[in-house]
Amino acid sequence: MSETIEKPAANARRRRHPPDPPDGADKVTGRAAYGADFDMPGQLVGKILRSPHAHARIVSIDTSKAKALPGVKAVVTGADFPDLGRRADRGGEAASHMRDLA
Amino acid sequence: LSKTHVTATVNGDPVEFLVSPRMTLLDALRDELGLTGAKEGCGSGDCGACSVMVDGRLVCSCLMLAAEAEGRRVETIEGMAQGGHLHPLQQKFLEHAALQCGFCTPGLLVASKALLDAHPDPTETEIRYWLAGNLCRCTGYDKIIRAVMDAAAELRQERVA
Repeated sequence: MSETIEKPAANARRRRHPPDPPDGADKVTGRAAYGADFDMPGQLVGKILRSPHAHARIVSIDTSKAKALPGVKAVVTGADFPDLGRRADRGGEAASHMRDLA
Repeated sequence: LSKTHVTATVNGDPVEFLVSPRMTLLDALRDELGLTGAKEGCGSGDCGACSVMVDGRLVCSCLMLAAEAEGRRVETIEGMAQGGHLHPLQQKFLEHAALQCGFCTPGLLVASKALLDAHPDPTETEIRYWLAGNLCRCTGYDKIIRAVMDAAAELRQERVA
């Protein structure tokens, strides 16, 4: 009946150390690939211009100089997205500011 | 812009690459050498996700110019596991569940190894102060501290043995 003795010991060890996550070894060795780690042929790179002012109203954005730069494929602002309104039905701050996040 | 030719040692291997004057060591490692283990979390030296060793000194690779690596010895997370075996720190991070998303993990491991290489028997307070420059949004730090203490104990055992 050695089996009945070994089983609780194995379970006890499992409780102390949960099984390693399947991607654990990749993450501790730096192999795990995150969004910024991918490099595809012809990949475009995006840059975000943020407002220097918190909670400020965007009056206008002049994209002409950015569009004129060599190699620029697109310049996207909130004006390129449909107006979803200032909905608060989902609750929280983000929902009421969807337009500004776009 | 003219590029600078840089010769350095990365994880024991001689490497050469061309860099623009403004390129950071982090970008050179990631984009020129394909070593994407070091991460850009903030780009301003606050988060420690880009930590690497340069000539035995812990640095934020986002704050160092790639051209400054000329003739230097760089060590990254990719060099920590030796011969297919995880370093005790890597093993203990897994055992103690000291990571979740894993984005801060390479930087924390490099920083922890720098500490243990110089101070094999740090107190918990010393570990917390040493790792204060490495931010983690997942774990709450306690598991990381326990993993480093456990790894330090194992490494001390290995030295005695």
